[in-house]
Amino acid sequence: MSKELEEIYKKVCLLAGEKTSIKADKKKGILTGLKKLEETLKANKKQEEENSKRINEILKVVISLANLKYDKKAKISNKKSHFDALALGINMLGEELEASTISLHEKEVLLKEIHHRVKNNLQVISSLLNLQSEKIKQPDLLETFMESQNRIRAMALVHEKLYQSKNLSQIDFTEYVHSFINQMSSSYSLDPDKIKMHMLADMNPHFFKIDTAIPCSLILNELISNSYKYAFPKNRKGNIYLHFAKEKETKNTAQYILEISDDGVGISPEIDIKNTSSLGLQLVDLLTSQIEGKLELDRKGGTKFTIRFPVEKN
Amino acid sequence: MQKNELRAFTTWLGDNDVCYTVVKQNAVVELPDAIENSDSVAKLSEGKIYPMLVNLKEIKSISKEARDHFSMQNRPPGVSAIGLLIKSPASTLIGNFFLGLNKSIVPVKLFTNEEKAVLWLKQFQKK
Repeated sequence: MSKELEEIYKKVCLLAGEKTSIKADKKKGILTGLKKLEETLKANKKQEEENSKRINEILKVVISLANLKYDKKAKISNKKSHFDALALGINMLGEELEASTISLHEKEVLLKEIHHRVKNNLQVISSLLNLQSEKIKQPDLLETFMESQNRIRAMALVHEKLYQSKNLSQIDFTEYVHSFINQMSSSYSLDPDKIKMHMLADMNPHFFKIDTAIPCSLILNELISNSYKYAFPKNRKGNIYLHFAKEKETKNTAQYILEISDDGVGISPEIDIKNTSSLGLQLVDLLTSQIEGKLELDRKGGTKFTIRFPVEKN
Repeated sequence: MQKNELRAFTTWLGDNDVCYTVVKQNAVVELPDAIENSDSVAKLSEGKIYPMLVNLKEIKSISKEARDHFSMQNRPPGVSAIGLLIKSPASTLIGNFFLGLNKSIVPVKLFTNEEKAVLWLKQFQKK
């Protein structure tokens, strides 16, 4: 008998002895009753501990499921208790949840696959244009085909950078600019001794989402193409400068500058960039508005296009 | 009456043209058990379609794959309806999964009384 019950027994005996003379068989009866009470209390305590342990086990599985981790399963005994049913229910719900959700890894694989396919499809379109252009004799039409090819390649490069990026939703635009210049130089097959490309971008990574990266890539394509095509006629030597940097930043946004300039013959003073028949310049104006940027043209000593645009911080 | 003793089930075709499946005591039903059960029912039916009474009372657990197999979503149903006999909390829960999450393509109803279940199943007997 436990110490506590022994104390109670002594008190009961003392109380009974004080008022009446307690018989031996009654004492035995009291003792048996108290022993039974003790056993019941012990059994209840054990059951309570067992229940608490099972609730904790089930809760751990629920927490795992809430974190989309499906490897933990609640134990099920052969007792067919309500706890077993609860554990079974949680396990089955977990299985259904696992079957109906896409894991983060699967999501990454799918996104990568999408960007890869978009890039491949754009490359196929570019190749088709290339094949078709082989049959074209008119120089104007040939040039139009080449311009379209370059625009498609500029966008394909964004998708290539996207599926190579870590988070699949942003690209490092500094890295993009470097790759783009290489792509562009090989596309125009120009003599680097005649036209030199100078990259003035800072070397820090600047991450842009696709909504900003695609318009910026097309702007870059149009303005550098323009310099290549028109700034240095009749084997004129010269330089093209590309300046890309973060100018300033506030708590929520950063302002960037994208500047493409050359020391060529200069853009005709008659051309108004807000009202021009050139598709390339129309695109630059439109895309600058799309990224909520400001476009400036400086005609001194060649041509200089400056675009300042805001990018929301993550 | 021929009874098939499987790992997790006992199956037979009753004289009342109802197919019976009883889940064995503390059975943990996995996909191979579910397939074995369907094959056994198909053999007993000999090409005919019968309603089926499944006694789930003694089941311990059932895997997702086995539940999906029993829901018959991507295969022709071998039975015309299913009555699920339940009693324990686990069997009640599994029964409710077949009504909600693992819905079968044939009518399914839960019962605690076998006679009432058979009576309901008889309306799905093909003449």
